[in-house]
Amino acid sequence: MKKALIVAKWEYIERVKSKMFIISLFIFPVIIVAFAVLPSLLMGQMEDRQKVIGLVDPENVLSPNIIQKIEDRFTLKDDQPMYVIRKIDEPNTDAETLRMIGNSLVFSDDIAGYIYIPPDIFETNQPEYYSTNVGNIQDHNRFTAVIRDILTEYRLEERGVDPGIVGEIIKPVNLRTVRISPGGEEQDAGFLEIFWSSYIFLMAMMMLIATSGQILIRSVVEEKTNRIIEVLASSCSSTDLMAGKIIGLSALGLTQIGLYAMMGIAAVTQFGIDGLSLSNVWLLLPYFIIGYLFYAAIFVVVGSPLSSEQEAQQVTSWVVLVLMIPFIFAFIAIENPGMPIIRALSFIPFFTPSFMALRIPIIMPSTFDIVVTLGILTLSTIILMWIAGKVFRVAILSYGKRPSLAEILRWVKTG
Amino acid sequence: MIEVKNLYKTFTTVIAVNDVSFKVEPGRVFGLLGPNGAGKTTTIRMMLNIIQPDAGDIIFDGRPFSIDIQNTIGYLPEERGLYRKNKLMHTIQYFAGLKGVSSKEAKKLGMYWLERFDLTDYANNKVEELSKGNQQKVQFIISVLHSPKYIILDEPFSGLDPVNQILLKDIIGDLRKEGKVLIFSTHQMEQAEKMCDDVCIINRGRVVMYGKLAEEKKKYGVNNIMIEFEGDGSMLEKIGGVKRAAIYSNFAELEIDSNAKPRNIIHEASKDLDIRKFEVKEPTLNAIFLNLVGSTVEEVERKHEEEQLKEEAV
Repeated sequence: MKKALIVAKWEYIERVKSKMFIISLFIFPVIIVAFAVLPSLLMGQMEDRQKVIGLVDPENVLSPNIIQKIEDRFTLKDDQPMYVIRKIDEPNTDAETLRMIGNSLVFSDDIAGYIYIPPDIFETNQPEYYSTNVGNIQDHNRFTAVIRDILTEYRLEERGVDPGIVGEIIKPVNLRTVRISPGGEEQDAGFLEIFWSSYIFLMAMMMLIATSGQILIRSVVEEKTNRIIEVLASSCSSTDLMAGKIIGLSALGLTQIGLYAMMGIAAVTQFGIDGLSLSNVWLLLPYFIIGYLFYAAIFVVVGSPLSSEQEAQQVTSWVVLVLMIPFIFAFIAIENPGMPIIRALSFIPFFTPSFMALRIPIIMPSTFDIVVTLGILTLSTIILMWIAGKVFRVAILSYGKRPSLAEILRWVKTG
Repeated sequence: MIEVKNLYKTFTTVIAVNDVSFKVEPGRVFGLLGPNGAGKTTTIRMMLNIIQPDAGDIIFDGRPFSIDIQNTIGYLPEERGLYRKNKLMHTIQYFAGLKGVSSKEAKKLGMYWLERFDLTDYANNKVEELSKGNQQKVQFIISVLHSPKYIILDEPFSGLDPVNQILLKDIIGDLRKEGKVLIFSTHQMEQAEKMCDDVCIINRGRVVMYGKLAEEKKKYGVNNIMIEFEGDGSMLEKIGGVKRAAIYSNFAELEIDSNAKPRNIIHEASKDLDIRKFEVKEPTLNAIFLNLVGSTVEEVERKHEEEQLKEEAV
C-alpha cells in the first residue's frame, strides 16, 4: 500500500505540473462558458443598450399614448427606458413619404426600426414594423403587446367602460415558474436553470471521467512502449501500480473539480449568474466517485493491453462514445424525468452515474431507486476492479499485437 | 546467493523455461547466456516476481521472495526507456522511492552517481534533453542507486559507446569487489567471455551448459582452430577432419576431430584462401555453444524469429 501511494504521488505531482493538465484545466470552463453563459451574456448586453425606434402614425391614431406606454413599460437595469420613440412627422406629407423618411433613417442607423400605424388599424388590427433586422422576437412581442393593449383600451372605452377599470382589465400577465419537491419546499426555477444545473453536472462528470481515463491509458501505454513498466513491475506489485495510478488520477480529477467549483462560485458572485439549483447535489457525490472508479476499471481493462498511442486513441474514443450516450437523453430527461426508459437506463451501471446526475437535480428519485442503483453500481465496480487487476497484471507485460477478447478472458481466468 | 531450483514456465504453446537450475554466488559475475528467445528474460522475470513460475523455487540467501527482498534487487531491463517529460532528478527519486529510499537520501545518492557518470549538469534537465547514451547511463543509475544486494543486468552494454562501455565495465568490476550478487544476461558470447566468472547457457528453455567459465573451457579441450582469412570461407567446413565450423565473413572457428592434425587443415585451407592468422586455442563460448547445440547463436536466433513471425501470422 505504501508503494501505491508513492505511485499515486508521482502520477499526481508530475501531472499537475504538466502543460497538458494546465491546458485541459482551461478548456473545460471555456466550453461551459461558450455553451451556457455566452448566449445569455450577449443577450443581456444587447438589452443593456437603449434603442431608438421610429413611429409613423400619420393620422395620430395611437399617439401619443403609444409613445408613453412603450417608453414606460420596458426599462433597462438602470431604470432608463429600453426604447426611445421618435415620432416621424412632417406637416403636409402623406403616409408613403413618411415611410420613405423612416426607411432612410433606418439605413443611416439613426433608428433601429420604425412602427407604422395604418389609419385603418381599428379595422385591420395590423400595425407594421420595418427594420433591417426583423429577427428580434422580443422586440416584436413587446410592441405587439403594447399596441394590443392600447387598441383594447380604446375599444373598451368606446363601449363605455370606466377608464379606471380598463387599466385593471388589461393588466399584463407574468408567468412565474415554481418547482416543488416532495419535502414541500417551493423554489423559483425556470426550465433553463434546471437544464443547466443538470447539464453542467453531467458534463463535468463525463469530462472528468473521459480526460482522466485517457490520461490513465496514455500513461500505461507510455510505460509499456518505453519499457519503464519492467522496472516498475520489479519494484512494486501490479496491484500497487494500478491502485496508485487510479488514486493519483482521482486526486488529479478532484483538484480539477475543486478549482472549477471555486471558479464557479467566483463567477456566480461576480456576475450574478444564477442557474444552479444546489439542493440534493450532495447525493451526486457517491455516484460521482463510484462511477469514476467504475469507468477507471473499464479504461484499465480496455487500455492496458494496448501498446501504441494510436490504438489508445482509438479505444478511448469508443469508451467516450458510450459516455456521450446520456447527452442524447438529456433534453427528454429534463422535460420528463419520470419516463420509464430514463428510469430503466439508470439501473444499467454504464449509465447510472450520468442518468442519476440528470434526474437528481430535477426530481428527487425514490429511495428505492437510489439504494438499488447505488448497490448495482458498487457491486459491478467491485467486480470490474477485480477483473481489471487480473487483466492489468498480464497486460502490462504483453507487447506488440493487440490480444483478442478470448485471450483477455483467459488472463482473467488464469491470472 | 540466489538459488534457482527446477524452474518451469509454460506459455500457451511453448515451454519457455524447462527445468532451469543454477546458483549465483556473491562477488562473482554470473553470466546468464543464450540466444534471444532462449528463456533468459522469462527466467529473470520469475526471479523478480514479475511473473509466477509454474513450478520451482527461487531462494535469496535462504529466504523466498518478499517485499523486503524486492527492495534489495536492482534490475536493468533489456529494452529500456524513461519518462521523457520529467526531470532527471525527480525520475531518479521516484524509482528510488519505490525501492524504499527516502527522497532526501535518493537525492544524495543520485548526485553521487550522476557525478560518477559525468551527468551532474543534467540533474535538473528533462530526460528528453539527454542523448540516448546518457539516458542509458541514467537507467543504470536507477538500477543500482538503492545499493541493492542482488543486481540483474540484462544486456547492459547494448547502445553504449566504447568509452562508456569501459566505464560501465569498471563499475561492474567495483560491484563485484563489493561482494554483490551479479547476474549479467546477454546473447553476445564474446562479451560474456570477457566479463563472467560463472556461466549458464540456456537454449530453448533448457540449460545446455553451467559451471565456472575457466573449467568449462578446459573441458571442451583444445581441438579448436581460429582462422582469419580473405576469400570465400564456405569451403572450410568441407575439409576432412573438421567436425563443426562457425564461419563469418573473414574469420572462422573450427572444431576438429581429436585425431585430425591442424597442419593438414592449414594446408587444405591455404589452397583457396589467403590466411592471415591461424591459431590453435581454447574454444570460445560461441564454439562451445555450436558444439552443444549443433548450430550457432545467430542461426538459432534467425530460426526463432522465423517461428515467431509464422506464429503471429496465424
